[in-house]
Amino acid sequence: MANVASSAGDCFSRIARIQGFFNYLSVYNHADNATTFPNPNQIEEGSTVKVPDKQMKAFNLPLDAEKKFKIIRQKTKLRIKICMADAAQTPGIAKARLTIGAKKAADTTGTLEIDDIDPTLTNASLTVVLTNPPAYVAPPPTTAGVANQYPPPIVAPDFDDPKTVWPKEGETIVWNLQVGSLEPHTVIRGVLQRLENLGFACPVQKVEDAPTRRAVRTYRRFVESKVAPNDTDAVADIQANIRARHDD
Amino acid sequence: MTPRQQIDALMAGVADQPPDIVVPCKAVNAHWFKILVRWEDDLTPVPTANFEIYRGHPQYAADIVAKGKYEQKSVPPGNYRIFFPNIHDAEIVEE
Repeated sequence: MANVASSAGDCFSRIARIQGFFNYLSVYNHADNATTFPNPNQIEEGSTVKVPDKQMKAFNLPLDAEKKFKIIRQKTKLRIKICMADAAQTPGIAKARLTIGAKKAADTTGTLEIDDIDPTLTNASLTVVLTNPPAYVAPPPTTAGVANQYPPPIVAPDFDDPKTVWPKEGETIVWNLQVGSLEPHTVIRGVLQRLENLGFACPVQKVEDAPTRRAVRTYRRFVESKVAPNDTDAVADIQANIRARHDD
Repeated sequence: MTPRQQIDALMAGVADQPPDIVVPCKAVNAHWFKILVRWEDDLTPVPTANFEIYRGHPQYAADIVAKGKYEQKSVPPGNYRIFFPNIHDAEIVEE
């Protein structure tokens, strides 16, 4: 049995394929893994995955006949849903294309899916052309040094000026996707990754500090009507909420 | 235990040349076999898969299934066994 330390972009499908398995369940069903990872979709970077030894089986091979075998595999799917910031609406899409490796999918409904990707690939590309992008609305003025409002303040070099990067009709928008890099929402990095994905400026790290608290407070101001001044703004405070908003 | 060690252990108990229990025919001494390997979900051929074939105890052939198929003609009678050293036993079944 081998121990594999998971790195960014790892999932059970990827680890299983790299180790020569066709079905991630062959790895995940190892007793130690089921205990360590209650959810196979949630691997934290640096976790240890137990990879069982392959077991060999001998088959009799009859003469003067065709012997047929079936290999049981688990396909790895990639599904992308394009929506507005409130997650409830789909923007008008003139063209959308998802590319990973040699596989592509194109659709204009807002959902793109490729049902059999190579799980060892960790980079994908999403290209979108909007038919009628929403008009740019300038954020309300923010007091200098107070960064707990939404939208968050634009701080060079973290952001481009939204007025200059706001999508225009017919403009092609390209996102480079880091497939499988999202960590579980139950760990600090996982929450901070989701915050960053949703547009809240924060460092993606394993410890909480002033910048992470600032990002948490900004997020809470966005999703909650009231935030008490003496709240801790700990990552744990928004774990469930951000999982529902980001993942579901 | 590595796949190689497992195959060696499984073949250790096999006699060198067991009697031909498949086709005990003196008139026709040359036989053939075909192998077809497909994915279980959509039954399309597997691009490649390594295999090892043993006739009795000695290794008879080690080759690769290409586009799901392998065929060999004019093989002597015997008791043949096949292994797929790169495939976990829970991931391959006979049709």
